[in-house]
Amino acid sequence: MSDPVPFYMLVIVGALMVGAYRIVYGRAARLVVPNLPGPSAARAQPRHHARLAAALTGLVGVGIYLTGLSLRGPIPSAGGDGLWLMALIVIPALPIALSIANVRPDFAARTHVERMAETGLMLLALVALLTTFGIVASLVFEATLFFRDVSIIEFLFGTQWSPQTPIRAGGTGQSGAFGAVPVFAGTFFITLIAMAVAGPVGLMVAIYLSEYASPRTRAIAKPAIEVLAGIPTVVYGFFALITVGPAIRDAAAWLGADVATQSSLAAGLVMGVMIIPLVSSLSDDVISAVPQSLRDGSTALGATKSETLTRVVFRSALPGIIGAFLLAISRAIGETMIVVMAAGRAANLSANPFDAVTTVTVQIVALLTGDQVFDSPRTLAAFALGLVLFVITLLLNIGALAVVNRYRIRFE
Amino acid sequence: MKTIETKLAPKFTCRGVSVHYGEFRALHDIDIDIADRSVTALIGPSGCGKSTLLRVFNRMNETIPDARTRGTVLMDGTDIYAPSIDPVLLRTRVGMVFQKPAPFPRSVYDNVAYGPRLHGLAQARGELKRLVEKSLRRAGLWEEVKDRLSLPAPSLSIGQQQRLVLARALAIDPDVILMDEPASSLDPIATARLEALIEELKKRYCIIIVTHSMAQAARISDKTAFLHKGALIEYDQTDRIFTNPSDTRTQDYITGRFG
Repeated sequence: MSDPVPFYMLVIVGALMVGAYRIVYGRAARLVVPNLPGPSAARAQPRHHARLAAALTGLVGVGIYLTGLSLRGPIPSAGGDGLWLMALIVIPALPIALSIANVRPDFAARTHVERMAETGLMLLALVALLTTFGIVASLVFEATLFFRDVSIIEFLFGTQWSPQTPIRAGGTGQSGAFGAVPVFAGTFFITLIAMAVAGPVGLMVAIYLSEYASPRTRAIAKPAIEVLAGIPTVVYGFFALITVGPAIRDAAAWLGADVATQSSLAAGLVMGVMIIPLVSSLSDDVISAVPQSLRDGSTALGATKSETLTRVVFRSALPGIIGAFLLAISRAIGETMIVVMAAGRAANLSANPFDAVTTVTVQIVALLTGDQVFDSPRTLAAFALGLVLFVITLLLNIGALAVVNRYRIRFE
Repeated sequence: MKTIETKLAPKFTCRGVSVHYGEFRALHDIDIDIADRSVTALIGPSGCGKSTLLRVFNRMNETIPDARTRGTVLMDGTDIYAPSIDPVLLRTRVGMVFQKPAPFPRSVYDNVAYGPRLHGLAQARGELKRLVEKSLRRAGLWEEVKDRLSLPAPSLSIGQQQRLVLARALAIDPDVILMDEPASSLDPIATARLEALIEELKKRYCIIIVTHSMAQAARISDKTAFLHKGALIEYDQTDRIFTNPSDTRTQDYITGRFG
């Protein structure tokens, strides 16, 4: 019997918690509280004692469960599940007994509940923080392995990207090229095209919705635009591949140019349409949040609606609009599916929007799919790409925060 | 001679003015004449329509959806609700200060320069600077902010902000200043300063002020209008309203029996 500690044990822990709550609540309710002058722990209500008891029982119970989970693997326990079951039922009696003993007028249960809430929230925040650190650590670790084989200079500044070449042929060196410049250039170029579409359009949509549209138009148009955000990216991908790409090719042919179906323009345009609702919805919220008193002040000075909008409303909403744009940029940088389908996989270093390019995310997918030796430079390159992408988005966010904060300090 | 003349002819003449917000009738059939170069106070309990009446004079009610204004409002003999009148231009002649000072999120200087820039009032170099200084002096704020013109306006104290928005309104050189409870968020010292300023400004401007403070109305206004449930109950010299009102509702309100 080597199956994991059964799940029903958690159910038992839950039942024990409920039991502890009810027992202690009953005791505390019957507690005769002398009406002491001054601040007194007796101000604690029965629910405080009971919550404390339940939390303590739960903590011990889950602790036993987790211990069982980790010990069962290496040490086959003689008693099977039974032993753990016993432990799970017997040991929590201790915290319950302790809680019952604590039902005294001078025990500050209320204060303890407060501290417990604080600790609990802090632990949860810590989970998010540690997860981030864990991911970064793993990225850094794998990327370090990669940089043992490929020099960091070549990776960051090399302009040749062809990891498809077989590597490690008998240890005689590598023939694969890992210059990541074309890959990052592709990402930024497509992001640029996408933002050139989504930025102005999204902002205009937001201004129209918040300032000009009647409540009825707004009630229909806003959800309709937000539907765009709900379309799966793969659908956008084949829209780009089947419709937009050929349309661009045909338009170019009509003008006498010969371009491929797959191009950064096609991918960028479609990605731009995809992130319009992101920009418009967030910008609409911040523009609507600008106080009416500012608009009235401007109107009373003889400003027209559009003057008020550009000189007062837009300015006040600027930090929020910058935030919306940044979210949109992060979304564009991380987008994979559209690019795979519409921009191709060729790592061209080209600023011609009609050329096929590739992006960081597409290359990570390409590197990690298929049969791979896990510690080959080809696989590890994915982690290096991920690390650099992470650093870039991090710097982007820090920079934007700094801009927004400086603006806030100045004007709020 | 001219001053006497303008004092005799009313700045505003309202005849049969009614304002509706959708189905709700906020003002009913108001007849009132407002004198130039004087302070006219509008008093009355909350919801009596005094702010609505104030916003009739610069057509600010039109920024509220569903608001309709009927009747005649003459300013210097011209119907300001005539189709040929652009409310945007009207507002450059009828300035307004609101209950809560709302400086724009810009510098002190840019706040005052906002109107002049909008309307191209200062073309020559240095003229805008002089205009900003003149307006801030008139609003009694220059000495306090002359070294801080580039600071963000929201960093000023509330009392200073209220005088800043007043300077902002004065900068486009209006004829009339409407004030909607301008002292309600100010402490007694800032209020006293604002009242002294109003006393000074009435030599040049027609001032109409909505106030909740009867003491304030008594201190600063020349004439007082008492409104109740959208109707103008009584309109007379301020000292008469507060010493010998002819309507019992006015009597009840100023003695604090309701409102």
